[in-house]
Amino acid sequence: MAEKLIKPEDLARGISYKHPEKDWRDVPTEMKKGCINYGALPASADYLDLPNVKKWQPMHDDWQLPENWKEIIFEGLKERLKKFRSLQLFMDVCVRCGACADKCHFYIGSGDPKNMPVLRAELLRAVYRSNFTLAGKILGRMAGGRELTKDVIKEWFFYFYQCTECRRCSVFCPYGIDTAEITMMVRELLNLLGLGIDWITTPAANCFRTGNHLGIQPHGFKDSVDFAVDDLEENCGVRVEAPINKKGAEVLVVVPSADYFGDPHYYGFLGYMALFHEIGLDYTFSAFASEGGNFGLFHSNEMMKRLNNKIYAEAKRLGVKWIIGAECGHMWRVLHQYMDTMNGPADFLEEPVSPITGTKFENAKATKMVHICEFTADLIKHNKIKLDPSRNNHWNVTYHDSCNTARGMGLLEEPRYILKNTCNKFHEMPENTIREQTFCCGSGSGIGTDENLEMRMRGGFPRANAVKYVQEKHGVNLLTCICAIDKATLPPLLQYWVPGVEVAAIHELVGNALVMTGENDRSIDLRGDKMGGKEDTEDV
Amino acid sequence: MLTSLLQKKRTEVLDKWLSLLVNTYPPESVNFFLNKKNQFANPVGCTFAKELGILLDSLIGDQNAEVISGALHTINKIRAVQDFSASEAVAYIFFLKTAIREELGDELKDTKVLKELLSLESAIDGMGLIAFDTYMQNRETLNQIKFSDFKRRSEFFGGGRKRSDS
Repeated sequence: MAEKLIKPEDLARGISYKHPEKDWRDVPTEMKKGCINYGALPASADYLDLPNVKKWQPMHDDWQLPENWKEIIFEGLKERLKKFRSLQLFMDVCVRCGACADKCHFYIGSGDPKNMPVLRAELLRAVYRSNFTLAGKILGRMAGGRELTKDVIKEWFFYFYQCTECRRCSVFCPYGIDTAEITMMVRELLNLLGLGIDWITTPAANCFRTGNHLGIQPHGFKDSVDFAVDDLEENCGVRVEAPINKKGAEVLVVVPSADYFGDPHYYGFLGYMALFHEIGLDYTFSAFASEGGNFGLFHSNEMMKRLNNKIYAEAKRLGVKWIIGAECGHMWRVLHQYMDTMNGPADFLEEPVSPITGTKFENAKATKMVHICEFTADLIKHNKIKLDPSRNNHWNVTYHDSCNTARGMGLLEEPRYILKNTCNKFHEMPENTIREQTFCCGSGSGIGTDENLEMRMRGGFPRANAVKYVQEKHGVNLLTCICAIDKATLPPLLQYWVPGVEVAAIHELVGNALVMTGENDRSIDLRGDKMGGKEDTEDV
Repeated sequence: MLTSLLQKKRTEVLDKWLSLLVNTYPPESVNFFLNKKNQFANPVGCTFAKELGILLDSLIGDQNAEVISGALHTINKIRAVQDFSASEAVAYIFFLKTAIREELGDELKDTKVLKELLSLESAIDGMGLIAFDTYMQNRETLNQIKFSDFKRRSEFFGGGRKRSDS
């Protein structure tokens, strides 16, 4: 929050709370506590061989830009305009119709006009116009241009790390401009000057070193999985196998690292293991491809490629036939939209076929990678698993479409199909807040940090507001989702805006409802709490 | 007498109050907050409109402290995470005085009405004090969340998962 105090002379004159009217180009950016992310640690940036590494924080006055910083930006932009036709198109085609203006969750929650996607993009476009178009070169500001200054760089940093790359705005753009890709490009340019944020750079460095964002080494990964096997046995009375680095397994399962380390992700992880055991799937985890998430996506396309590479490399090394990817958001944006062209073709893998139902996942023909919700929904559709939804009777459920799986890959029906088969109480949020129009959690794309909490609360308000509606109308007490960042950042969001609503993985509900061979009385759920509907089943 | 005047001019006073509140945001956003009527597309503006109505009705009605505190809490939850200092965040309470003075105009020349207005303005001041409390409660919740998040993260990186019985 800004630390502003009213001076006595202002008090005597009368205070004006009306916001001053100024052209957006003349409103200076103030680095405010609660709204910025800390700069990258030099050790992490060094590990990734990033340029212009320095000890730096955005709240400092001097950002220690290299002497030729302007040249770096212009050259970087020129290179990207040439390399990515989409960027060139997005720079030229916008007619500033304003259809996107009020669709961004940060704008809706803050009222800051520079959070309107059109104006956020204009921060780059104005510089582009001044330096890359004839009209802009001649007419400058009159043609909507703007000189590139150090303050503009600061403004870029402030606002392009206030975009979660959720792409809600692009759903409403008549030209299909993907503002997320503009954000990606500006972040690439900022990184050329050494202006990365730590919550992206350090996880990326960890991932490059150990295969996962947390820096967990193979023995640590094994410990975590073994621990989960014990936990599951304690809850269900069934001892499962959880193979790691098993050569010749049919399927490689890749999960986000938060699944085996964070709450409430972990209960979903228990759910996957219970499910795979029950259907007898021949699978393996990899201690090296121990992260589906890819913070490289929030840094640069090269970094994304670098971190993604391990998935196919491990699939090849282990000799699996195809891959299942677990519940994660941006992991799926990378896998679905970029992996095949970045690190494919995966011609050493087979077109995925479920060994249980025989279903051919033709949609995954290119990547050879199937979403776990597609896999589970198919099992349910073919009656291959026995589910008792009353075990989730303690939950009154709604579903948050994670931006990347909903808008990025169109996974809309499968999660809902699973939920309707695993719980008895399910209520949708209002239609302009779900499916393609879903509101972001406000913390995606690497900005889910403590230091950025106020901004996250603003950005997450539209989502929380819809959750509050179903809480009041239907008594909803559980928000399910299939994204690791959602699972980490929605709990604090709801704690602030909608206390009383918890967050869970869809496969946590699957794990609860799954009737397993040789199971105990299942009196407790995967969280270790009393299982819902227990009284009903005892009466039978 | 003042009560019936305010009931008659409820819409005008409320619109004025809302407009003064929304004008604390950048001019480009005033129209959006005021005119987008879908509560899910414009949760900030719609919440303000609804809760200011509750506050005004309560104030000229039975002045139920619980209702007033609840409405203030809802508005201040939003203002507490936006780009305002504490005084800026709750200043909107006092905008109601301006709204009433401007909308009632000549009717305030009647000394009887004026006397009643002074008493109502004291109630608005009281509401301002409750607003500070609710603002602080929200800031406290925010800090509590930050603290728990930090604690959870330290445990997360420090020792990994712990058994519930250990």
